[in-house]
Amino acid sequence: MDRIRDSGHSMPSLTPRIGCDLAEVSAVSESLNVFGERYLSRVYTAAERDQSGETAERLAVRFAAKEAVLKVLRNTSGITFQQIEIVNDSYGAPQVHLTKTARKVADDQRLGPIAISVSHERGFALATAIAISNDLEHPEGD
Amino acid sequence: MSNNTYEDRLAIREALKQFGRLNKPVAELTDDSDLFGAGFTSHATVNVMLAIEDALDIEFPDELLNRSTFVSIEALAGAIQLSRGQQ
Repeated sequence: MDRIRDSGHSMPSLTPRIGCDLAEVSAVSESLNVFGERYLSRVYTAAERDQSGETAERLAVRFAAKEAVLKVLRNTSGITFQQIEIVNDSYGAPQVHLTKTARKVADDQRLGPIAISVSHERGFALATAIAISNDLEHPEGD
Repeated sequence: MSNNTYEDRLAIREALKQFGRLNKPVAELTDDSDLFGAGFTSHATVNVMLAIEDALDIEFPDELLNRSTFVSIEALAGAIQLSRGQQ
């Protein structure tokens, strides 16, 4: 996307960001079997646990979505998995809710709402996240 | 609680062996080997982290939960030391 220039002043640069991730359902099953509550409480929010029924397949979808969002955020230092919540709206469509450090990182980069799409089949969960960054950048040469 | 870096590295290697899902034997990795290059996935980092916490009776603080913490055995050993400093 071309940067808009105006007499050398800094102008908004609308840049698309995209991230994707693939998660193995068997890996999530292993985590549930071995670490149980510790795994669930470190990675998923109460709403995610409730909506997923804590089944491996539905949790794997949410894990892939969290990772896809992390790739969109880029600066992931200090962001925990729980700060990226993936919940379904009343139509069943997945939505991203950011909190704490994740929210701040998104705001600092002037990221717009993050849209996600998820799918799962044959033991794998897939997620793609996309957002537009409205970051203020200096024209080249500044 | 262990504060021995040799024991830490043994615990890291054992956690990687059990939960790392790497595409090569852990014994073939040096402390500086790139774990993600050896097939380490983001989900596997969670299991390895939990296994290390169990083995060494520590808890990784939130600020260490990023990719750079899990990039190598050396990096994980450093994160363990930092975790102890915050307990």
